[in-house]
Amino acid sequence: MDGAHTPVSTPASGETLTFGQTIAPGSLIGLSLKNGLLNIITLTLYRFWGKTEVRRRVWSHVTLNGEPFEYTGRGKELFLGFLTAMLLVGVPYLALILAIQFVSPLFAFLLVPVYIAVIVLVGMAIFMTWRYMASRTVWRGVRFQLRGKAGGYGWTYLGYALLNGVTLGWFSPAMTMRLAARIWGGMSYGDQPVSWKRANKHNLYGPFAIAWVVGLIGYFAMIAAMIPMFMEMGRSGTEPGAMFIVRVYGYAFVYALVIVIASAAYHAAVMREIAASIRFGDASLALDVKGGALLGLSLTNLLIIVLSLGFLQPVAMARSAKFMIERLTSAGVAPLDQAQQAPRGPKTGEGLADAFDVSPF
Amino acid sequence: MRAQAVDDASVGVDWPLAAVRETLRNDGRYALTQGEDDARLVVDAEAWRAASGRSHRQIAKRGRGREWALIGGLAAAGLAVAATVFIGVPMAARPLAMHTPPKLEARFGANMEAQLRVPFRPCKGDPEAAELLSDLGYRLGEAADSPFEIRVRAVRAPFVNAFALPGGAILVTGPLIEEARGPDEVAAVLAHEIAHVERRHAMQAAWRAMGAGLLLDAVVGGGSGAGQQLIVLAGGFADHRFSRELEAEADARAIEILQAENISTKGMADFFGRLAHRGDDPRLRQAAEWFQTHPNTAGRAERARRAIRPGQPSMSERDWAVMGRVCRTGDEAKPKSRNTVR
Repeated sequence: MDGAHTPVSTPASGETLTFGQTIAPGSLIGLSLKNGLLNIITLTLYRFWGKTEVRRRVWSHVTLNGEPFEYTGRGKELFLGFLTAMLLVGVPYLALILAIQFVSPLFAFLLVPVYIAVIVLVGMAIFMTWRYMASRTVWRGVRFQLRGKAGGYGWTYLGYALLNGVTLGWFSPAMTMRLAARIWGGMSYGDQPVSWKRANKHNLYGPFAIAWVVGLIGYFAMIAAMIPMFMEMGRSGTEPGAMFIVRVYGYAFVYALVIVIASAAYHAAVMREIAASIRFGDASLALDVKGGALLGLSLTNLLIIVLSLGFLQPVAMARSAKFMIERLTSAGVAPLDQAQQAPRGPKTGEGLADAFDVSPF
Repeated sequence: MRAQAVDDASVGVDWPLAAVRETLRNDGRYALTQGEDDARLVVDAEAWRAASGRSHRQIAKRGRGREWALIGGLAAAGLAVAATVFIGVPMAARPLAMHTPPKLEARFGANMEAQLRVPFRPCKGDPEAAELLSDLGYRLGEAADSPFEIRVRAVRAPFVNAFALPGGAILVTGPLIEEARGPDEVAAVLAHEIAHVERRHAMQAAWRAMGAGLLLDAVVGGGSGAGQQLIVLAGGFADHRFSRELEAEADARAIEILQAENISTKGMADFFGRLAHRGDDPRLRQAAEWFQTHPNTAGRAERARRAIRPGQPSMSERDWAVMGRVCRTGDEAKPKSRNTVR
């Protein structure tokens, strides 16, 4: 029906993709402070609307072929999703805890299936967040859409997590790519599917091995450093003082820092490989992210968040978005103008992700 | 604005002006929308202002009103939750606890006791010592108006403390008995814990945690964003104040219980006094635990001192010497557990 408008589609028809952005992270400081203050006044209930406004701002500064993206999510949708999640997850969990305390400690055995269910729910929460974000991201008036079942993703997530545990973490790169395949393989712009074909362009296991070995050695080093402290405490029989706790946290912080540094190359490789595996029509993507640059971003973002006591988190989010879009390029043509509108998507969003604090955005 | 606009191109777009909303784009143009409609019409800002008769200020102002209404509503909701958490629940906790069927509290206590057997293993010292301790607790319990029978046990732990569980069980750590310089000091601690049992403070704390803690957690969610941690911290402070009130109440009641049994309250003043100045005594540093769960010891020692009245010793010299062996088995190793319970 839009034949009058677009030429009859031929294999190479479409547009090439040019990403652009005019994000100025500093311009979000005002909004960040406003959100933070309103969060305190409203006992954090404003956070759903604050988050929405930040996304709306960031999205509007990202362009594809000169046309900005639009975020159409509503604070109300996030709020209702949160209430639903509390009702469906929080209330049964509370009932179980009360049953353990007041009825019989034997109810504690139910905690095992509950904790397994939580892993499935975390997976579902991640999928549902992506689905919500896709449905609320609009370009030229056309929505994105994520097909697939949240439950299926959740169970897969559980299976991969178990496999990852059994392999002492060595399944992790495969897990990341397989889960990314489910997200991007199920994505479409309007009715035009995005597809996933594993590029195998970037070596993941090399940088992963470095991160894994450094992590393991660092872990033992941390334990070794703490042993004399614990032995001293055991000998004197005293309770741990403030200095002791500060030192334990200090070691843990240094360890976390070592992990961040050692895994930066790996995370950069994962991002490059995911981008390279995404296809839209004949268009392919390339994300030019290097470990060093990613490390710089992570550390400066961490500093911004810590020094501002979390208030400038939106600034960090905007910096990350800017960082990615700046490095995103595409070759080949995509069927942008053939896209017909996708359905409206879920009515509420991200409730589970908010409850578990696992939102990928 | 492609798909739909093309469909409608032959008939044109017919939107009532009153329903059209403008969003200012970063390129300085307006994106026009109507209600929940997917269609977008991107227009030159100046041309639209001229055509619609809406000034820049009018357009910018619209929607502000709704935002203020939202903020007002959310602030009211937040205030209502805060009032419930910080005023309503603490006020309701006492009557709720008093009206909780004692059977339910007893079952709660029995479950808790079973769970605490892991971090706090019972002392297996002199059985006669255990009986003396238990009898002292029973006798003081008679003077109180407790709905539960008072059962005092000594447990192994690396710190000085005592806990009143729901349902009448009282755990006293071995180091507390070693730290005490006379039976009256142990009696003072027991009277304090018995007051907790009598006033059903554990149940009050449980109701409070259930009401206030859960409500606050539910509102704040699992997130770690700005403000969320701050609110949780405020909740912690409120909790602290609440438990201080309960401690003060237990102190006052403990003095009455001791006096009813004709035991001098000097033991209480001495014990709290030493804990308050524990910094001077390296051996007493391990009493930090008591200090954390029973704050402001100096002020409490002072109050106990003012209430001092002479009385009979709560136990004979010989019995006191025996009771000191309640956790001593001679060859036992130092307890390994460092778990603590508030």
